[in-house]
Amino acid sequence: MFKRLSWKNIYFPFRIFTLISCLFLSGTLLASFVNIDLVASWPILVFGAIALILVAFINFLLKNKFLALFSLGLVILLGAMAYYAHFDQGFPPCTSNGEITFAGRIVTKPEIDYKQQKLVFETEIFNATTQRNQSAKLLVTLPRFPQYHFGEKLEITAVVEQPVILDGFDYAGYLKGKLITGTVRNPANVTFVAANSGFGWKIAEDLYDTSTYFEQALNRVIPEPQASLAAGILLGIKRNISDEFMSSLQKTGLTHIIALSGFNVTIIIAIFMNLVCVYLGKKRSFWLGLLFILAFVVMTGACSSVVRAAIFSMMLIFGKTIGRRGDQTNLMLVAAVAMVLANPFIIRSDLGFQLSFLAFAGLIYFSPIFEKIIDKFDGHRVVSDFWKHSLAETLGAQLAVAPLILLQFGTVSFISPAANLLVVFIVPYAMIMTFWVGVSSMIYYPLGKIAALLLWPFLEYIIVIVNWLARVPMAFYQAVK
Amino acid sequence: MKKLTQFVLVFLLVCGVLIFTEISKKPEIAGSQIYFFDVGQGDAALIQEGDQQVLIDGGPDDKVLSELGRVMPAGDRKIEHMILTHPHADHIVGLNQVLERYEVGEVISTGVVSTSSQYLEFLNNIKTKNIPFKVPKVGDEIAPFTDGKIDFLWPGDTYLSKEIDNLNNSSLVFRFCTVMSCAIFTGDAEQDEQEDMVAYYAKENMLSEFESKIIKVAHHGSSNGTTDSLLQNVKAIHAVISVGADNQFGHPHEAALTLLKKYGLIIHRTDQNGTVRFILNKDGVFPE
Repeated sequence: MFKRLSWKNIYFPFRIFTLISCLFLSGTLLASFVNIDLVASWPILVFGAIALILVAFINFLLKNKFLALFSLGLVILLGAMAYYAHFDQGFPPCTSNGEITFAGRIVTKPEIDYKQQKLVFETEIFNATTQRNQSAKLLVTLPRFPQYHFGEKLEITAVVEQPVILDGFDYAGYLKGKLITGTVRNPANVTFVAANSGFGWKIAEDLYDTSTYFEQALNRVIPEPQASLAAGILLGIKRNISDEFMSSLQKTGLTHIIALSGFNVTIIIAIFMNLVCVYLGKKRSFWLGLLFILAFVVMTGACSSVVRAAIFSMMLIFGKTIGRRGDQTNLMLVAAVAMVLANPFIIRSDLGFQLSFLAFAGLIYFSPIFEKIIDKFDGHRVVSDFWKHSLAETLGAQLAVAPLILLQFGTVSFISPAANLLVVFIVPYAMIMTFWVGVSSMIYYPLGKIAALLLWPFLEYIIVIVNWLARVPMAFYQAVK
Repeated sequence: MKKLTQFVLVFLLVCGVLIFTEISKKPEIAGSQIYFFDVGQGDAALIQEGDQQVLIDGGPDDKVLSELGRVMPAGDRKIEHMILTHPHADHIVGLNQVLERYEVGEVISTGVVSTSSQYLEFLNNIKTKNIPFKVPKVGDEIAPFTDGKIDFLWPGDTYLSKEIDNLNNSSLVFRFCTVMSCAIFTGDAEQDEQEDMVAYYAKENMLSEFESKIIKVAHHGSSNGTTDSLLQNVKAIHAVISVGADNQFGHPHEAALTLLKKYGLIIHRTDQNGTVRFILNKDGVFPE
């Protein structure tokens, strides 16, 4: 059998794609460790690529086995080029010498809490580091009032600072993952220039407003801390969650339930498809599903885990429509390549992206192994299938993300499998209920109040279990910093 | 149908767990409860009886929301009375959060002039929601519960539509009384204002108006917030200092603590004890 293992046999079309995607991604990842200025490295890359294409072509003509090797090199280089093509936006960081005035537009929904609002501002400014004009996204922190809105055009006079490293947390890297290269705090002057305009911008604003109304409607009928948990599991809004509860979630390895993980998004999409699309034909379901997924991605601010799950779900729905099932590895890689092409910095800097893909890989590769192990120990089939799957999925996903979490936060949660078993199965119910509470509260306040009473036990159950498990001795391990 | 059964089963399971945790808690004692919330460096207190509430200040951030969620009955989304002692950020920011989320029956404050963004937001919230705004005169009283009332002791409507150099001194001072016991709330009123108040009540021969078992120590236990004359007349047993751990002002001040100890008061601090709760019923005052 091993005799037949040659390059030829690996060339199953769908595995070629797997290979190419992996190489492409590793090219981008490698490039992220080598920060060369695009201007200097561009000719090298181009020449390298041309040389490789030539070599590959010659080898193709000669039917040489080295063909493959060089083609692979080419793909790695392409990955690196994808990274450097975005160079201008991500490196070097944007700073100004002293105060400057720049005009631009608010490109995300401002994040407002009790004391301030944070918004991402896109503008064209002179970068003091590179000595040239460049388009840049800046994170602007303003007082709570006056409140600004998505899409508004402003003129700001301020010092643009470089994001700093806080308590060992690479804030600059984190922001780079969002293509943000500079920060502005306490601007000297902010002038309103124009209101939001443009078709797509208006639609996005409407979607943001919907999510805001929804959150407000929830907040009117559910008390804290349940309200912030509800907003977290359905819309991924984390800013209202108290530090204590956040740390309890971390200790129990349950942060993913409030982070709009792929799990949550898949449930939301499944709910929608079951709710609306049963009455429609396959084709109409597909288009409506697509529209809903897009709207949901925009509404929740297009964070990595949502985008990943959305791409994945869209392809699954598409597969259903045309009656084919995709290879899970490839579906995952399509999502990854698409996202990296759009923003290559996420592969190194966006923890959400990394965790989302690792967890998913864990589900695909590790969970079946755990299932077999459980079967081996449970010879008499005492454990029901539901719990067997839940346990295997939890263990698979948690095992896959554990090294990264240890690296980033210095913690390992030993209680996590138990916590996930006890909590995760209830999350879908809590999500459906939260959705109905929000909708009914928007329609008729007293109805929302009644619905909230039904939702309350679900949320309280999660809170009680999380707080209780976080207090268990030896629940988690914190590496000394 | 199978899904519905599943849903009902999960619901019952959850309810079972919760009922169990509820039962394992201590039984509730009848009477009014006063909570001094642990909201960091700021003031927020709640007087509650059944589903009736009086919220006094909201602290410097949104922590008050979780505190309210924890102590208010499930499904109660109305706070009947909201009192703002004075419009400083460490008293008002949380109230703005509460106004956004809860129905509020009425707002009571001094009407002093301030143009801070938090206060403008507060006034705007009240206006858009059509909440009645009351400025009590000296000696006015409200009865939030059948056997509980609040007497407004100071400064009346003196500062209505007026500016004041030190907003602390515009603080509403008031006393909550049930059948047997009282608690006095002093806001951030500083020494000079307290002296004026005590002098006024001495002249009117009404010093007994101050007598309370509990005193909320003025201005987070700052050196300028505690006076001999007031403590003498309050004759309290418990002193509550609403203060944040490691705050930048060095509150509570040593001088204030010494004075409180001199009068033999039991000191409760929100930075050390967390949220402080008192139960006031016909048998007296019970701290926790």
